[in-house]
Amino acid sequence: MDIPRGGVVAIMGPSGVGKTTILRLISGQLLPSRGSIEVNGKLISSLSRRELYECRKEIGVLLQNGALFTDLTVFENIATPLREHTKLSEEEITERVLAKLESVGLLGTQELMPDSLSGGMARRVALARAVILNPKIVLFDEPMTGLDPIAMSTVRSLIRETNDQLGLTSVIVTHNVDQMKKLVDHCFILAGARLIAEGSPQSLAQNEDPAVDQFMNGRVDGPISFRYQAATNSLNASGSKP
Amino acid sequence: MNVHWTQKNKLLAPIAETGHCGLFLIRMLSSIRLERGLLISTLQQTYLIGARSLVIIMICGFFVGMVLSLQSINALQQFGASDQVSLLVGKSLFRELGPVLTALLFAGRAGTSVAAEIGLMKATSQIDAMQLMAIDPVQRIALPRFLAGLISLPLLTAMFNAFAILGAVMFSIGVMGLDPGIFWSKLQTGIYFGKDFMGGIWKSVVFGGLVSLIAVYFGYYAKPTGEGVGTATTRTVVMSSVLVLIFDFIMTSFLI
Repeated sequence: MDIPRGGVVAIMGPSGVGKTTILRLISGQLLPSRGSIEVNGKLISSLSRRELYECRKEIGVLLQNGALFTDLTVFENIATPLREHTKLSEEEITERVLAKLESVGLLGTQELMPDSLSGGMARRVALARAVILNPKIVLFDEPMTGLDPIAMSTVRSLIRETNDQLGLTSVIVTHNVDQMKKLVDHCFILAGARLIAEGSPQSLAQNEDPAVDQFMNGRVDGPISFRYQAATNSLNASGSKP
Repeated sequence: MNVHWTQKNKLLAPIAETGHCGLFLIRMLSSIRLERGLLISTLQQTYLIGARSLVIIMICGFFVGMVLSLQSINALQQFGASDQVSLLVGKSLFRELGPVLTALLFAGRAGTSVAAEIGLMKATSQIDAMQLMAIDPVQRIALPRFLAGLISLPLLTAMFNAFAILGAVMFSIGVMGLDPGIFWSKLQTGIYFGKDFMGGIWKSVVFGGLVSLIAVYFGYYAKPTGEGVGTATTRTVVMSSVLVLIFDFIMTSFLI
């Protein structure tokens, strides 16, 4: 799997197929049992903790529920990476944080605590926090799950805007086919822990592979089983009894 | 670091976990950097877990002092030695009851809140987010809380002792009508600052380290679920109470 620089890329597939695992491998939270991961030319699995942390400064991550620090205000949440990794003065930090908040359309919320934000707002704050250090790569773990349609579209257009403005490489893990068709440049589809197809959303929509067709159109019947493997076996076993 | 291989073995699991906890302590201590951020967050945590425990420590200390003098006077009267009460109260308080009871109260009040807080941060993937931002959560979350416990407990023990003596004074002089002059002079001549008072304070430094290490360790390695956080807080109280009492005996047998 090669992720091209500069675009918005989606890793898609049914739940439990290992999409989030791929993000965790890229960010070095998990080590591969086989194979290797290279990010910005560095072999992630061979880095020491310090080198890995150095490498992660160039990667922004937006976790599934935003994962904002609940004991800090919105402002402090976004300022945390700057305080940790830069030697900017207080004025410069304020300026950059407010500019980022402005760009996600949440200027005025800086003194609120995360628990008083709605799901969509929290996701946008987390996005601002993920890109505050101007990383080269941003990883998104299910950025639209659990949002209403308007918030979903807002987050979607924000991902596209930040990607193009800052020249990022965005990697999105999701199972939302409709939103992806509108957003991404390139798409990988996983099923059964294997890469089954890749290409632009348009080319995938016309792909004739039965598994790809099943996933893209959300059909129940097809090669991808929704049954839990063990359950299928026990059903067969009991079914074969006279 | 992986402890799962021993989990099936009931005998080896506690040993493996002790080692794991020791490695965690080493990792925490090796991440100490003398910088403003650590100072600020340690002070903040000292306020949150130390100063906020003050009221409960003072109330408990006061009543322990009262009940201690009540029992002592009752027992000493049989030998006609009730004027020795301040000596008995002072010795038992400074050497044993002060540090041990404060540590047990501290485990219940502050240890649980630290374990639950860190566990919840884990359950809501805030710890993950921090690691992904290239911030070491052991350094930023665990270390300040550990240091705060180390600083707070000796100070709380001193407060506990002070309020227990106050309670003893109120009861034996105010209620039982003992002579204040005898009470204070026995206390002054019979209790040694180094051996009695500081002996107890040194113990409480160890207890402070022990309780807060257990709290941050169980919180940090809690399963990221509601149940996991609950288990972490329960284990924090149980383990720290048991270990405080065990360490108390070991230390006393060397100190005495």
